[in-house]
Amino acid sequence: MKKELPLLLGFFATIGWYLEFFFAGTFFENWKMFFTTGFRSVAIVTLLVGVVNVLKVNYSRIKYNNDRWFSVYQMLIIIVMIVFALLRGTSPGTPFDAMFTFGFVPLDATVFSLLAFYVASASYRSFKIKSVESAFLLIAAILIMLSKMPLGEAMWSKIPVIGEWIMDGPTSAGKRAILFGAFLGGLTMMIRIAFGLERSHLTE
Amino acid sequence: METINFILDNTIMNTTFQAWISVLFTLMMLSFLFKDNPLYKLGENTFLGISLGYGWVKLWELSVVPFLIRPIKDAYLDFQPYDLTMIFWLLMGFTMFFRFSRTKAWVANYYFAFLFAYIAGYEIPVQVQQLFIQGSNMMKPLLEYPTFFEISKWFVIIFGTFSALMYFFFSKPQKGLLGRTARIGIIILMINFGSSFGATVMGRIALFIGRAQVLAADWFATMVLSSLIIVFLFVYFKFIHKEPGLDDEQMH
Repeated sequence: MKKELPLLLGFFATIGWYLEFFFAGTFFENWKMFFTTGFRSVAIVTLLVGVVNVLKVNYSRIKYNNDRWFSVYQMLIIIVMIVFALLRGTSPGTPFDAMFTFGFVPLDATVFSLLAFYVASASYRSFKIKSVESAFLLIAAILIMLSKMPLGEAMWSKIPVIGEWIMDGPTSAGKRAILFGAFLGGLTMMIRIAFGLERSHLTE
Repeated sequence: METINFILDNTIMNTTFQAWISVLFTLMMLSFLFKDNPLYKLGENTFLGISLGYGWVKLWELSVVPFLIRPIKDAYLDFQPYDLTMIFWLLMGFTMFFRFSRTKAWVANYYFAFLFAYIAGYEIPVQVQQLFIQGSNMMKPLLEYPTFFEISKWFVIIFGTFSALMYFFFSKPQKGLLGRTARIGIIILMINFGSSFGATVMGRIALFIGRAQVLAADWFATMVLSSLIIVFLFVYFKFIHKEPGLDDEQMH
């Protein structure tokens, strides 16, 4: 009963999506509405879990002096954001929005731009042509990089065209094959969850 | 209150301050290219603090207020029997915390079984739809654009997708025709990985150019702040920071 009742509840929640679609009537509409309201209320608790988790992690970092002052600073920034929202709201042109635009955006862009250096350095050290397949990988990577910079066009005017062909042809074919697999796998997993066959998310 | 407004208008709402803070954060994060240092950690924690604060406030506005606070307020003002379901769902939501209990962890099954199954119900038609979308996008008319460039792409897309799918087909040993098709599939997948890698690197480079343009546009702020950061890093690594020595290593 520790798993069966929850799975039964889950099954009713799943079929709510389809009963309303196939059978007209307020009963099935209310059925779906009942579970949709439930999902929204239940999902809100997840926010609370996130808040509790952040507080817990920072509390332990402060308590055990593991970068204590950085944790204090992080909590302070969170409080500043909340205070800004309370003082002037969250619409564009408010301090809350300015913190996002002039604080978060540059930090985010710089962190990801840093990855360019590390990806380039890691690939320089690890890329070795050991087989025909790895040669294709390397040549495709070089051609795409050249096609996306002015130097590529300056070297040979056809390089951007070749880059476009690679992106539209083999890349899209490979990506599509992976997506077919992913969607089929996702569909199978969802059906297994809906019918209670997949139970790895439940505990004894 | 006037003092607070004065401070806000002259700091975070001031355009010069905004430009300087943007440059400062960019340089702080770039200082990691030299070595891990307190300025980078400061930037990292600012990033986390702003994103968490932003996320919490936005979730409060978009989820908690419309789906929890407002219904509770409405139920208080005009109670309907249907409002009792809200209590049921809230109790159900809080069953999640039983996951942290050693003996009653199974109570959280109600939460997870419901959440996963509800999302599964929503996702099943979405996944089917995506399969059809991918299929229909793949099968375009052959002579829609009758050029060598487009026709060759058509063949590569159709046969490339098919052969790459054959590589993922494990119900038969990959020998003979199936094996050869799967090998072409591997090459298609390798080209895909290579071009995805190239596109990712170039995307990151584009981001870096964007940051460099910001630094160049505010060159005065960049000069001043980068000089200060260099001085700080020099002082920190020369006089404050202690590299783990031989004694420390022996102690561990």
